[in-house]
Amino acid sequence: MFSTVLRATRLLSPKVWSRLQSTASNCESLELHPLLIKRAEKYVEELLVLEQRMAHGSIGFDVEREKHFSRLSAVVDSFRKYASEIATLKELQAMVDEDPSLREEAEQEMVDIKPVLTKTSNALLSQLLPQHPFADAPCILEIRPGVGGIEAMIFAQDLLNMYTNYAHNKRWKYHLISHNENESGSGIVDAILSIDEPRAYDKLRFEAGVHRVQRIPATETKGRTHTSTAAVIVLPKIAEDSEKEADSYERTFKPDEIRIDVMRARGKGGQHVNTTDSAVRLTHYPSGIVINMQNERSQHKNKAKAFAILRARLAELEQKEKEEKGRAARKGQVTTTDRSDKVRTYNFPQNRVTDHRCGFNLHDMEGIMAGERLDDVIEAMQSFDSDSRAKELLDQVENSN
Amino acid sequence: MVRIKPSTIWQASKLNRFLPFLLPECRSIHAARQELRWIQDESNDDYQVWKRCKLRYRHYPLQYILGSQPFESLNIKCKPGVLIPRWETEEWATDLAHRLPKNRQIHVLDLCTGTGCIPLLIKHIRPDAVVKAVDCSPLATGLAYWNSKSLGISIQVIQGDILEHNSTVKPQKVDLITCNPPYISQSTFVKETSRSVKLFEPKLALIGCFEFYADLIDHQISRAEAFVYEVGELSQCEYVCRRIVEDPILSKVWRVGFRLDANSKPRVVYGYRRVAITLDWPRIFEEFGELKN
Repeated sequence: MFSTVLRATRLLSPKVWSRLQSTASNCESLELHPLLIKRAEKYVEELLVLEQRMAHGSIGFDVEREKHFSRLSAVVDSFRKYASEIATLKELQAMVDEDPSLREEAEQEMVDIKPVLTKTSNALLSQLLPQHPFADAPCILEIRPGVGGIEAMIFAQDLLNMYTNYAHNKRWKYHLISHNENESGSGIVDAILSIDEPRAYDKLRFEAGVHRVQRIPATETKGRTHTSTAAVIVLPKIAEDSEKEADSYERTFKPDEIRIDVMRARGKGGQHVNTTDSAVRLTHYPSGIVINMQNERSQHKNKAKAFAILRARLAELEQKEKEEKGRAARKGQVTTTDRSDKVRTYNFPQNRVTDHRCGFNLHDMEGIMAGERLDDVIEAMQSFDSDSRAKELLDQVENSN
Repeated sequence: MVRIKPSTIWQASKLNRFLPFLLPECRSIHAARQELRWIQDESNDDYQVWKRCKLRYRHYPLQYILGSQPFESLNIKCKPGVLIPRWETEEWATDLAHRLPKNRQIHVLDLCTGTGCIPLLIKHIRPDAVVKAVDCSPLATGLAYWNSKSLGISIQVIQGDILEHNSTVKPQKVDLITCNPPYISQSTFVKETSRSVKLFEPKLALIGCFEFYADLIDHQISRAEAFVYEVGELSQCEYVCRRIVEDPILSKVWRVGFRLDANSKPRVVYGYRRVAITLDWPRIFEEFGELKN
């Protein structure tokens, strides 16, 4: 009976199954660590106090506090949901142990309830862990082809389409900051996509890394499978790429820190020539970042975009340095999710997408490339990340005790 | 100039049938694609794109085709018969405008204004300035007026020939004179000016040698606190500098400097009174260029 149910769900549900490394769902792993539960209970108390104070009207309106309040209530909501579900599960467990007559039905119900509980406990876990400092930010995606020549450029274009489709499906606002096709027009040399939805960075930050593709390229004449790569860089979008922002931001740098190059025409220049070239190259010496921007007719707009990207890159760099320092302070060999190089493989002949960090497999290439099933991979990665971060947190607490 | 290879033309035609038309002006496929995209963005249909690409094939300026040229954050309208704003002008004008003090009523006079790009930018960055623009061409003053109306930046536009010293341009006292005079000499116009400029931009706004710089020393300098003139070559900078140094009175009163553009070509000659009455000119022009006197 049990196995038939399993088979049926497997047949009906889309072909998704996880490897052993991923979150195996047995009863123990569903329950959160007592330390985390304690943390959640602290939030409940805090919310109660805050609610009382707000009900009395003794404090005025404050945006920061409202934000904090909404976050608190979200955590508490999922904690309550989690608590009630865990209680049900425990009751069922007791029933299985004590009453053999109801055993079969109870077991059946447990099977049903487990996936729901996994979801809620994962959600609660990610809420309890400290947030990424840029989690609320919109994001900027930079896509560049890696090894593999034209095929890599085509794949980079495919990835760009995937992300635009993903944003489109979610009804998020997005725009292309820069888009440079290769000479033959079949792929891209580089592209920068801005997704202007708050919290988009939190969703997409695990996309950063090298994406590998295995397929028979359109350029291949003998039918051999090639392996090519494309790199994706995900940056938090700190400021709008408007001209006003760029002007004020430019003034925060010392003159010898940055250098702005415009096109260098031969000849006398000035009234002698009438150029339409508006390319701008921005160099930031302390970090060695170089940004080329050439899509707009206005040099000023190109400059503004270049500064927006410089700002995002510097913010990310700073954040990475901070993380690095924290890690060095803990002296622990901690696995990180945002540093590993090859993050994902797209295997077209096998119709399979594998995320190498969490070992997640998805057999729906079309759905992924259309951006419809990308959420599955992202969610798997998110739960993997919160699991490992929870482990890290608990280790830290235990070590300090 | 290097000839465009037939293979490049063939390659371009395979990518887009309009692309070969743009090659003579853009020289490379990459630049041509960029320009084609700009044309496509502002055209209604393929027929219009085709017509515009054919104009471009004959070296007709893109700014006249699309009717505008971005100038810093402003979108300046362009029309045949009026000089198209250059990026070199944009560069120094932006720098200059940001150097002017805020919240002060500075009187600025722009000569040979053309599209009105310089005075409009100054007024846009420093809204408290009182800005006048003069040009001798009715086409230019019309366009400058239209630009000021459509951008919502109010400047006073006057039509008159400054070389003719008649009553239309009264010699009022001003704080700053800016000017982008015609500075291409007859010989360099033939040899070193690009085809698109030679064929389609107004000679009135291009060909000149020293007349405006002579006029600056003879007539304009006496009524101004400071001046900024664009130049085409070093000899024009040196001419202004020499005239001031050789004059016993002017050399005591005025400081003169040159400024290079981002392409390391001499682009601006500027000067200000040593003893500032209204504004602290030495501070404003600090590191604007290299002082010669």
